Amino acid sequence: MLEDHVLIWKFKGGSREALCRIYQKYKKDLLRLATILLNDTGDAEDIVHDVFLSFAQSAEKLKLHGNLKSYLLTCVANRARNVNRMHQHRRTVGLDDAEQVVSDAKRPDEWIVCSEELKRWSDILARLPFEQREVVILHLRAGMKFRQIAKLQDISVNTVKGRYRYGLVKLRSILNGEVEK
Amino acid sequence: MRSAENIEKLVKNLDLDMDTNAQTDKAVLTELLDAQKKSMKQDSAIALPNIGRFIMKNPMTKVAAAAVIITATILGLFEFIGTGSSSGVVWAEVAKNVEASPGVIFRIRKTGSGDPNDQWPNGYTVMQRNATLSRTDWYRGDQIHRTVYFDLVGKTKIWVAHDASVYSKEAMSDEEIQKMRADGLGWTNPQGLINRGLTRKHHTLGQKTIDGVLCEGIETNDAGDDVSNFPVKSFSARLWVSVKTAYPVLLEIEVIGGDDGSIRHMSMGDQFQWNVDLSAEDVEPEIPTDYKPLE
Repeated sequence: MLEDHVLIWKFKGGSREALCRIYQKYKKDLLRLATILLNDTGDAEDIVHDVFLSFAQSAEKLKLHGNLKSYLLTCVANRARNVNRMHQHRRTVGLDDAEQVVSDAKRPDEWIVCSEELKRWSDILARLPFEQREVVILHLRAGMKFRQIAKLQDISVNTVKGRYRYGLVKLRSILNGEVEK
Repeated sequence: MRSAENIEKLVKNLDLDMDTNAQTDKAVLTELLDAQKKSMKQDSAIALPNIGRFIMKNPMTKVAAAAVIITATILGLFEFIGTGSSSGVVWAEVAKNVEASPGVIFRIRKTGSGDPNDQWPNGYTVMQRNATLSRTDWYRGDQIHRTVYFDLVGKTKIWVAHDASVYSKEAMSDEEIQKMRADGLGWTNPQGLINRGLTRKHHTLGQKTIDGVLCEGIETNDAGDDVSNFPVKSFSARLWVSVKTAYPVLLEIEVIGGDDGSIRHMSMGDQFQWNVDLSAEDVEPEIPTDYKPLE
């Protein structure tokens, strides 16, 4: 019932209730996005935790003119990209050869409880190169426009559209391959 | 074989259900609240002002109606431009800032003698305004009680009584819109904060610290003829502006009226959030599906 502008307004005034509400309202969207972007629940939990933590500390300096959900999703996407870069670097230097997976093994402090469908799709989408996966997910799941994604990634709209197209082609081939199996 | 369009639809509509572990959830939230607390300076500019309850006198039936006018009048009582200050605030800059703000959100708290809707100290009103949108939410405690919304471009007015789970959504007539623009928009439009009541006489109040923020104030005692619908005996409206940011921080209005001076009313506007981009999409109230339309 409380709309986001009022929530932000209250949050900036120091309202604990507003922070709780924002957290409850968006935690799943953020965790879900992080999970399908990274296909790793541990990393997803870490970045969403960090996004919320820095948001909680930002009340006085937060200048949010747009949509709160988009803002938080963008923060998650930015951090996911950084985590991905870090993993790539680690793999390049041979520090981390392990596959990232949405694991079935339960950790005692786990935060995300994934459905089978989420696990399955995280695995499928993980077969796309990160750049393509990110564009496909941000456009189709987070509802972001290509223009917004281009700004977020600091690339041209045409590049975003290209990645999206290639991403869909690859996804189609993965899914059709699954069906044929 | 799936087509590209099918894939798009499929991914878009996937039901990727998930849940969170309640214990971890609680731990994370506790950490967030702790971080929030630590990060908020004790002397925050937007912390709640500590102002005592206004002493009320006898019940008066007119006050409820008067309150509406006072709320509408709370903003824009001052002639900013040309108000000199040698100590800090450049009032022309305040005027410029307020005029340039695309939208504003703020809180109003008020009390009146005999006002049946008296909600002090737990009740308050949150207002969201820009040039064409106006939304007012009445809260009791932290529970939303009523909402009134006008969209002059979308020509829509919505009224929601959350306590009774009913609502009304109607189209605004051109006449209504015109009237609102002429009468009310001065108050719903940030520019109106300046342009209304430009001719009131006022004096400076000097500086004082309000919740840790150094402010400079001006006061008018000129009620004019549009402050209330009852005879006014005494009127005082004060505007406090941050010296640092040149944005309004606090507005206070006190009215004593009635033939015997028994009507007392106090309104305060605070927690201003300036430079907010408000769109109809964001501001329009969401009506829960179980609410019934008012016949």
